[in-house]
Amino acid sequence: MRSMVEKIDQSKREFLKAAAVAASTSTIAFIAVKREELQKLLTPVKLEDLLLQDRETAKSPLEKRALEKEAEIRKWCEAEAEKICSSMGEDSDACKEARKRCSMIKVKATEPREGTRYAMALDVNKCIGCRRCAYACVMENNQGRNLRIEWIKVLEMPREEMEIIYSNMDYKDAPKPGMVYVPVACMHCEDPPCVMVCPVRATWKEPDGIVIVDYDRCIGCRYCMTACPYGARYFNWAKPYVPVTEINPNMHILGNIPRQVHVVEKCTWCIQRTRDGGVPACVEVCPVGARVFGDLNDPESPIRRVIEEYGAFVLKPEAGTRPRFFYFFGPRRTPPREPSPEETTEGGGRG
Amino acid sequence: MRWARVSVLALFSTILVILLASTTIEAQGSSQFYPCVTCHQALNLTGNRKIVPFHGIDLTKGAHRGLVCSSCHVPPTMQKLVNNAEVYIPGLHTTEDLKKTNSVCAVCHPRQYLDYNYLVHGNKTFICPDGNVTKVIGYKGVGYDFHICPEYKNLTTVPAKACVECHNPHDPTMPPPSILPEPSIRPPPPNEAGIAFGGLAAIIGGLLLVAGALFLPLSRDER
Repeated sequence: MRSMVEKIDQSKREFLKAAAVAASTSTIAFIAVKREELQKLLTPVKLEDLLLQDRETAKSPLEKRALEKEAEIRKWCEAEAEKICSSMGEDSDACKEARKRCSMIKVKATEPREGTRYAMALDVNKCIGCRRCAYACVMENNQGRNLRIEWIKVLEMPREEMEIIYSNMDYKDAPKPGMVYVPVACMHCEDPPCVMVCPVRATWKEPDGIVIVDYDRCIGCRYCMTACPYGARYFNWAKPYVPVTEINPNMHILGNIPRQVHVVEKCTWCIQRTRDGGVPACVEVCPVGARVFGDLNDPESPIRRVIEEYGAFVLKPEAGTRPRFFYFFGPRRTPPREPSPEETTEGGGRG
Repeated sequence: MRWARVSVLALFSTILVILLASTTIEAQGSSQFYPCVTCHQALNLTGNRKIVPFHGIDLTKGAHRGLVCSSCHVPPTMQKLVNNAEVYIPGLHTTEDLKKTNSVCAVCHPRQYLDYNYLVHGNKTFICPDGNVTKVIGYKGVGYDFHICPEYKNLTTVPAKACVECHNPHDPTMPPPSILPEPSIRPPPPNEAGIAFGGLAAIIGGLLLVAGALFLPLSRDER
């Protein structure tokens, strides 16, 4: 019995000794090992990651993706800004502008509003074919400047016979008498043929009527481009280049985020503006106010006013796509302008 | 020689005087020459005229050639307008003030006025709380107005301009603005040499796989 107690005491003593040695060696090791070496072995916990996780738990999958995308784009933007700053100097305007724009970037994932059905209309009598809408669209939607993609194409057609075979896109002088100007972009059809053919469901029609492309899902097969009767879709053959000094900080995950290479892109009715109550860039920039944008379900909306007051038509109704982009002939000048002598010699006045 | 120097001095002084005078006149523009009553009170106008050389107004031509001053302005001071509006000058006053004069246009153009209120006629824009607009020269050297907002949420769409900002009330026909350059030819798709090399790589890879399938089981048997 006694020997057993002694044994236990001895083993306890040995254990304590061993523990003391282990503790001292680990302390010495802890002090001796460099902090950097230790950081290589142990992954330090970052506060931002923890906070991001907390934020992510409360959000939908699309919003999570938007957050990831925002971090990614901001990182890319800051790297580009750094390049500009190192080549042009810290005090240059370009550097300051780039830094400012990078800090302002926000990627949203605004959901469609309940009971909205967007539609756009264009007054063919008013449009003067100045192409401001096409250029504003490029700037607003962060389109690659190297690819020369313009989502809006303005067609010049004879007023007597509005036929696509008589149309001209490369006119240099406008407005001409006897001509109408028809800007064409995505029609956001009710039955979009592009959506039907997509093999990976990378494009779909949202409940509020906007046809969108998910750039992360798109595999670049270009079936949708072939299916579209309006030629409204464009393919990124190369990596789109957007200068960070001109980047639009207001972004939507399904809209105007800078695209990757080999995806199809198209007009989204400026989803980043309209989902939050704004107007598309083409509507805002139009110098003659020919474009109208609104909600078809709202009786007070501008689009309802157009359809009830003036009536509207669509392009290629025989395609059976039921477009939600309407064209209408608005009111003529009041009072009607009599042609001045010099205009009569040219062959008839305008309007 | 001396005369030349004096004449040069005189020239400079006159230029200086003219410059000073012009700046003071400009400064007086809003404060001294406005309100209109300072002149118009004494004139006792009836408003039946069509040409006013002082203001550069000629109502014998243009789309408003059927009108006289009193069609829109209330004599004798001319500062009040019909339909309970007041004179505001584009460039001098803000868009918010100028929108108060829209009711004058509504007298003769009720359909357009309704269209304007429904955001059908005229330019539209959106406003966000604490937001502003900055101009950037971008794609092909064309300027664009960016909206800068702290949060791009809760935007409200409003008419961007008052009637008189686009249509000069004394000559309302708006001349069409300049047109922008035609769309550029898109760069051709990259050539398919890379894809040919891809095919070559696929063939080599396939051969390697076949070789692996043939030789690997043999080596395992030996072990």
